[in-house]
Formats: sequence, C-alpha cells, structure tokens
Amino acid sequence: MNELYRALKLTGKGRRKALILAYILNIVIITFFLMVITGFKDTINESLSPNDYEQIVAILSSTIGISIVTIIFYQWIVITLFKSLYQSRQHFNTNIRLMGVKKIQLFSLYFKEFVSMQTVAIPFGVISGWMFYFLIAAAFNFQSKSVNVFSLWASPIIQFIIMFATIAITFVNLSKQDSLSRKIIRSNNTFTWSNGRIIKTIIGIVILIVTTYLVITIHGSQTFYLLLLCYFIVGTLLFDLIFFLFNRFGYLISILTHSGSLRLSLLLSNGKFSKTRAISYMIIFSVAISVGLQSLWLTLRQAAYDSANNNIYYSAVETTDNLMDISSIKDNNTVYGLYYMAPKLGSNRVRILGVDSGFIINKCETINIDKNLSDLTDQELKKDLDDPNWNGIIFPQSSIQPRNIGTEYKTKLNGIDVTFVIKGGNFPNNIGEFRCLVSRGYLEKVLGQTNKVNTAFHMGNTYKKAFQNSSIQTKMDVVKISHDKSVQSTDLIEVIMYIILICALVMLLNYIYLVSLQDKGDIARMRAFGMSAGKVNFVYLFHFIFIIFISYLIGILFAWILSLSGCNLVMNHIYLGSGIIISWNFVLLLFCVFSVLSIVSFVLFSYRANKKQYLQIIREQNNE
Amino acid sequence: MKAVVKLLNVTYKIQDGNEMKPILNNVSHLFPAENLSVISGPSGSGKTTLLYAISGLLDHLDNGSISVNDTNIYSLKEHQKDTFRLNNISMIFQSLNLFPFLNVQENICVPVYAKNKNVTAETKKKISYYLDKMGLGQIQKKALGVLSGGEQQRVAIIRAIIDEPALILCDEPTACLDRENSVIFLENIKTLITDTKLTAIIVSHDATVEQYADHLVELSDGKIL
Repeated sequence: MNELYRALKLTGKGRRKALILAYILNIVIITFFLMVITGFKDTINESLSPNDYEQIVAILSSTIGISIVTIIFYQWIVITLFKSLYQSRQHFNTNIRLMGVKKIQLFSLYFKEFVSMQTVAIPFGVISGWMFYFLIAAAFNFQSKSVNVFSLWASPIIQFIIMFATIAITFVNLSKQDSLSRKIIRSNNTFTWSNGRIIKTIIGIVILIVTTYLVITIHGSQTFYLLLLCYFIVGTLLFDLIFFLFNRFGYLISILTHSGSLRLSLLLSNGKFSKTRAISYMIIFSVAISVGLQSLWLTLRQAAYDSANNNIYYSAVETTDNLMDISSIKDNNTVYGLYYMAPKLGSNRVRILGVDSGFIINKCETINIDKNLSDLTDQELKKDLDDPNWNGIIFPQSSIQPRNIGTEYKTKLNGIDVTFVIKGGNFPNNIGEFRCLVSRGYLEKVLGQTNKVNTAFHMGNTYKKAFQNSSIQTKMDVVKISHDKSVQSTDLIEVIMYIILICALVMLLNYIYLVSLQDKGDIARMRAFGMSAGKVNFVYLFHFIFIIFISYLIGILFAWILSLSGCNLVMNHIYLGSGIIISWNFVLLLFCVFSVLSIVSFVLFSYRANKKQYLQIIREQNNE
Repeated sequence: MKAVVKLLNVTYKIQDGNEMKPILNNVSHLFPAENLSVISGPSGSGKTTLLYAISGLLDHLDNGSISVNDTNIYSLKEHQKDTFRLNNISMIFQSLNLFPFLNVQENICVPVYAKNKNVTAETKKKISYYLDKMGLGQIQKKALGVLSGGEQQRVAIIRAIIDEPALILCDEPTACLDRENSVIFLENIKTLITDTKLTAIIVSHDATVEQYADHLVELSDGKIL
C-alpha cells in the first residue's frame, strides 16, 4: 500500500497544493473566530451590568452565527477542490480498483494523504490564525485577552473533525459514480423546473404574500420590523425564480441584439446553475451583512448627529466644579442649571441636570417626552421644573420601561442621598450622554443650597464666560460627541464583516479557477470552431458578472432590510428622519472589486486554453 | 457551396530535442469537392496534424500553402483565420465534441450563436429533420447525460452541418464507436454530402471508414504515398 500511496501522491500536484491552501485558510478562520468568541466570553464573565451583559451576548450570538455560516460556506471550497483532485486521478482510481483494491483501501490512501496534509495545515494555520488575530487586535485596538490555550487545542480538533467529515462524505459520493460512465453521464447541473424547485418556489411565493399582507396591516410597530426579516427567507427561497427571470430577460435581449455570445453565456449560466448557487448565496450573505451593517451604523450615526444638531439651540454649554451664586452672574441671554454626576447605572455615567422652566421657555433644547411611557405634557413639565417640591426625574427613554414610571430612583449626589420618583422618559438629543432632567429648585433643597448654579447654557452666538475655571463645549462639540458615541464597540464586527467579504471573494476565485480548469476543453473547442478569444472571454466573463449581479442585487435588498429593521429596532423612529443611509460608493466599489477580480482571474486562468495552446488541449483530451 | 482544398508543398515541423522534426513533409494534394475524402495511415504518420493544418488551427506552416476555395488560409491574420473557420469549416473530434452544460438543441445551435445569429423557426425545423434522419428522434431538450457515445457523435454531425459549412473535417470520429454506430455515422455523412453538396475529409485508421471513401489518401511519415 505504501507504493500505491507514493503513486497517488505523484498525481494532481497542483490541485494538492490548492487543497492544502484551503485547509490552511479554513483553520485560520476557525482559530480566528474561536479567539474572538472566547474573547467575548471573557468579557461576559467580567461584566457588571445587565445592559452590558445583554449587549455582549447579542454581539457574541451574532459572531457565533456568522462564524458558523462562514465555516459552512467554506466547506464548499474544500469539497470542490477535493472533487477536482479526485477526478483528476480518475485513471489511477479506476485502475487500482480493477486490480482488486477495495474501496475502503482506496479511502485509506486518501485518508493517509489527508492526515499528511493536516500535519502541514494545522500548525501553520493555527499560528497564522493567532498572528492574524493579534494584528487585527492591534490595528483595531480591541482587547486581546482572549488569547488562551483553549483555541490552541480546540481549533485543530474542530478542523480535523469538520474536514474529515467533509472529505469522507465527498469521497463516498464520488466513489458511487461508475468511472466508466462518468464521461457520458456527467452530473446534471442545469437549471430545470424540477418538482423540488417548483415546491420551493411556491412556498417562497406563499411566504412573500403572507409577509407582505402582514407588513401592510401592522405597519409601524416593532413586529413590522421583525416581519421584514422574513423577506430574507423569501429571497432565499425565490432565488431560483429570480435567476430564471433574469436569465429569460437576458435571453430576450440576446434575440433583440442578435448576440449569440450573450445567449451562449446565459446558457452557460443555466447549465452550471447548481455549481454557481453556493457562490451566489455566499455573495448575497456577505453583501447583506457587510453593506447592511455598514448602512446600520451610518444611519445610526447620522440619526445621532441630526438629533443633536436639530434639537439643541444653545451655542455653548459651560460647566464648572465650583458652585456660583446666580445673582452675581445673571445674564438674560443665558440659562443656568445645576449639574451633578451620579454613580454609574450599569455602564452609564449618569448626569443629573437640574433646570427650571427657562430651559424649555428659552428653547435651550427640545424636550421630546415619550408618550408611550407617560402622558406628561410640556406645560406640566414646565410647571414641575419650577416647583422646588417636585421630586420627579425624567430618564432617557431607552433606559426605562412603562413599569418603572412612579418607582423611586435613589442615588448619591455630592455625598448626600437623594431620592427621585421616575416621572417619564425623554428622547435624548445627545445620544452619547446619559442625562436625567430634574427640578433645580428640588435639587437645591435636598442638597441644602440656594440660588447656586454650575452650568450655563449660552443662547447667543456671542457670549461671555459665566464662570471662572470652567470648561466650554460648543454645540458642534456636543453634536460630534453624539455622532461618535452613537455606535460603539463595532470595530470587531467590522473586522468579521471584512473577513466574510474575503471568504466570498475566495469562493468566487476558487469557482473561476475550477471553471477554467474543468472547462478548458470546452474553451479550446469554442476556439477551434472559430470563436475569437474575445468572444470566448465574453461568454465566460458575462456568466461570472451575471452571477455577481443577481447575487449583488438580492444582497443589497437584504442589506437595506437588515438596516431598516436594525435601525428601527434599536432606535426610535423619531431619530430616523433622514431615512436609511447606504454608502453607494462602498456598494459600487465592492461590485467593482468582485467584477474586476473575476475578469482578471479568468483571463489569467484560461490563458492557456483560450489564447495559447487550445489545439494542444484538444489533442490531450482526445488522447485521454 | 463547394469546397476545394488545395495543399501545395506543405511542410510543418516541431521541435524534437535539439532538432526540428518534420510532421508534414512537402505535402501537395487536391481534395475534390462534394466528396468524402479519407486520410489514413499508421499512428504518428501526421494524419491529425494534416487535418488541423487544413482547418487553419496550426499557428504557422514552415513551408507551402493551403487554400480552401482559393483562400490561402495561412496568409490570413489570426482573427481572420478564426472568422474563416467559423464561416466555412466545421469540425468533429474523436470524442467530447459537445458542451456538457447545454442540451441537445443548444449544442447543435452553437455555430449559430457563434455567428451572432438568432435561432429561427427554420433552424429548428432543420434540427428536427436531421434528428429524425439520423434516427435520434425528437430529443432536442434532452441533456447529454442520457445519450450514448454514438448518439452524441450523431448530434455532433448535426451541429457540424446545421449552418451549412462548405467543409467538414473529422478527426477519428469513429474511434469511440462500435461498428454499428460507425456505420450509422458514415451513412449519415454520405447522405449529407449528397443532400447538401458539402465536402468531408475524415482522418481515420478504421477500415470501415475507408470503405466509404470517395477519395482515399494514405499518409506515412508526413508524406502522401
């Protein structure tokens, strides 16, 4: 058997290298994700507040989900490369089976080769995964405390189990095919309206109709935005129909324009449908995640910017650590307040701002009360803020529930225990600040002060400083804080987003490489029939662009839904006046990257068949 | 359209170690139109190379000229050679002639697509006629996987003649076929020559093929005997 193993290793050298590279990439991805996930897990253990816990658990869950989906998609690359290696050894496989070697013995040869490849891939992959993680951690400045021994032993085990299962299943499927009939009975990848496909499409249409009906009837509520996510299922189920319709549309265009090359290209897409579907899903998934998350963050940041910019009217806010007597600094163009830092609530630094009705009358800021939490009116609030006996407090609306209204909030200000009663919630204008509004009179009373202030809101464009040793924030400073702090801790998710994009690109390149390899005979024959190299290039390149285009279109639609749902689920709609923002430059750039890479790689990979040696390829294939 | 193929002092050499070895050695011959010409000879005699030379697939000739209907193929530029081949010559190879991602009708229509023409009702009628004539039945929508090697070779013939070329070149077309299918193939070619006035040149060392030849050429060591 050792001699047979040596003979086996002599064939398919190029494909072996590609397969080892795929194994390495796979373990790099597993190691990286494992370190990211364990990193988050550590954060959970050290977490103090329930809010933080929920946030980290949400990020952890989505990271695990994304990791699993990416690794599953990546198995496709390994399967196709292994298939290609196995098929390139068809003569060897058939001959030794005819010599009497059992199927299990043939598998043992492949298993031996698999183990030898893993001995190279695993150490190299684990080290690369670690290095990759450290680099990313350093570049994005997030904590790298997740570096632990767990990922050192877990990733090789996961890699070995997943890869072994993938290879074993693929081997069993391949070995079922009769080697003699392989030339005639090729696997049918052509798009046909099979019963399974028809049923899948009907289910998709039914879900589409039901979802659309529900979306129309319950427009505006939280459920509405959750329901929108059902369109992901609809899009996935109706992908075949969308492909078919685009293909037919292209076919009509080809007839109108008398473009035979276009028709041949569409027939090629149709004929390779089963093979291309996995890549399409990966492109859809990666575009939806990357463009969707980016749009989500852009929209949230813009909403935070707009909220501060549109609802804050003072030109600057001045604060000092020393209390000042209001009678000595009174200025008609300035609104004064008392401002204290309270102990943290979860991870939030709580700011208590005591003001009177002048804060509203002089329009320092718009105070938007959430009517879903309490029915407090502006008039009532103005009256309450002037009342030194009003112990109410207005919290940022996202931090309280209706059941919290009327409950006490005890805290310590300036070393004194103070008790407030939660009266309502407002939509903060500065998203980056956890600020609660109270009556200045009440604050003075409980803290034993009279006519003292430490905060001044300057209303005019020109103003003079109210306090000595104070710090001043202009309106634009506040707007910037709101914008910058609106979406935090997204660096890591952004890295994962780019990794998914890279995975999609690797899959696409892998597909193009395999098509160039497997179709070299077809390409050579097209050339021999008299089709120019340009026409052959067009046939194949249009096929790749066609796949990218359809997948991209669905991906962008999914991204928009993801962003729309996400924004409305995490932020109240009153913030989203500017609508959903999508960076079309990024979308276009991404499309160009996918397309240009496809074009360049195909032209390079198919150069021998298309340009140089098509006659030699025909001769080689006829002699096989 | 009639096709007359003229070879004049054709020499083609390949690199063999340090020296240039002639595969075709000063070959001159005239292949008559509307005939089934068969080029036979032992392995390595240069049969296939001669066929590729006639089709214009070789990148150059070391000496001489080949003309099809008075067009000197090797005086044409590369893209002109492609166009000439597309419009005048059809080829049938030993095996793997068809594109696995296309069904029968789509495979037959490849020359039509390649010429940027639409598949008309007339073309479809022709396909139907030839499928019947070759005993294949109405299998237009069938995938290649369900066809035998002989059936695939007959589909390849229909593809070769569907757009009415002047010349069909076949490289060992019966090598993968059993005797029965070889006879069907040759009968079909002969009928087509009568029906459409085309010229066919077949390279083969199969004795059955030689029996069907109107014009037999024997090649040995790159020379016509």
